[in-house]
Amino acid sequence: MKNRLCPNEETLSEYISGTLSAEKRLMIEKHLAFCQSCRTILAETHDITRRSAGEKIITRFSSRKREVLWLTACLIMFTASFVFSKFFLQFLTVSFLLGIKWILDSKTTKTLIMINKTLKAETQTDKEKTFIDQKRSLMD
Amino acid sequence: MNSEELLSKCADYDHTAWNIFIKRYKTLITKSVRYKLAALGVTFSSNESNDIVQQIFFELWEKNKLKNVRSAVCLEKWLIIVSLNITLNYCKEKTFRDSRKIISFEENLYRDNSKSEKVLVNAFLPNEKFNSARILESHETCEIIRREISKLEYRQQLVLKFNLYHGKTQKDIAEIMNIPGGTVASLIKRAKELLRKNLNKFYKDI
Repeated sequence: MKNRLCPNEETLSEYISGTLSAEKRLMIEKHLAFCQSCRTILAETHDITRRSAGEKIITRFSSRKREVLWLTACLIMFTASFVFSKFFLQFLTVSFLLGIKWILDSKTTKTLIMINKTLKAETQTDKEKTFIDQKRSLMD
Repeated sequence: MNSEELLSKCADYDHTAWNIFIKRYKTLITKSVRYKLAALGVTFSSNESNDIVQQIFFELWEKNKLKNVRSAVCLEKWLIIVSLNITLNYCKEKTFRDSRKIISFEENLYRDNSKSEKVLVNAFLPNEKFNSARILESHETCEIIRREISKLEYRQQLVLKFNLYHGKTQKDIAEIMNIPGGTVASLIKRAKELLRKNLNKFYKDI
């Protein structure tokens, strides 16, 4: 259990971040050697930090990887359409479809789609408002 | 807005800064709360865990705790530690309020001990003749090992406890203590050698 001798949250966070002075580190380590609750806090903090860092990397890597994958496939199909001229149109169509997939999957396009949707929704509400106003004026 | 700026503005109760702060760190705090609840073995509904997250933000705001953070570098780790402590206190209060024992927190805090007993016995028993079921079952052996561990030099003790009680690898310990992995490895090795030696002596004396 945490007792009054336990270092505060700031000191513990500084210890695990490595920003504490050597003298203070020594004191904390002496305390940690016999205090189970402080050790548990540090172990758990390390676990959570590692997990969240891992999740960030995975999400960043997977989205980037997917983008590159679609682009590579598109380029391969495009080259293949010239190499196998017999199936030129077929390969070109596939490469065109993969290109569309790459464009739709990229982050900038997603943002543009989101902006477009919001703008559409806003104009729709504006239209509705003017319609209601017109209706009210007619009623009056 | 960088963390340093955000911290100082939040400490001055700037509403916009607080909005950004909540958006930026809500996920991290929610994760910490859920982690602690899982570690304690408590099954709370998502509403209740959201309540704890809200309470954490409320306490940060009300007591202006962000003023105490000296460096923005350790802000995330500080938030995790605060979240873990508040979650633990919330659970303790809740069990007290409900006056029914959902879970023994003491047991859970020290749950690693039962797990580590086998590790301790297997790692440090001097030879096979002591590896009998009788000794394995008795807590006495573990107590002896624990006592011997507490006699070690504090750094060796700390590293060994992280390794055996908390199941941390050498790399993890190096990251926690901010020391090179090689130092951790040598500390563990020396601590184990010393323990074996001391335990051998102890069992020979019996």
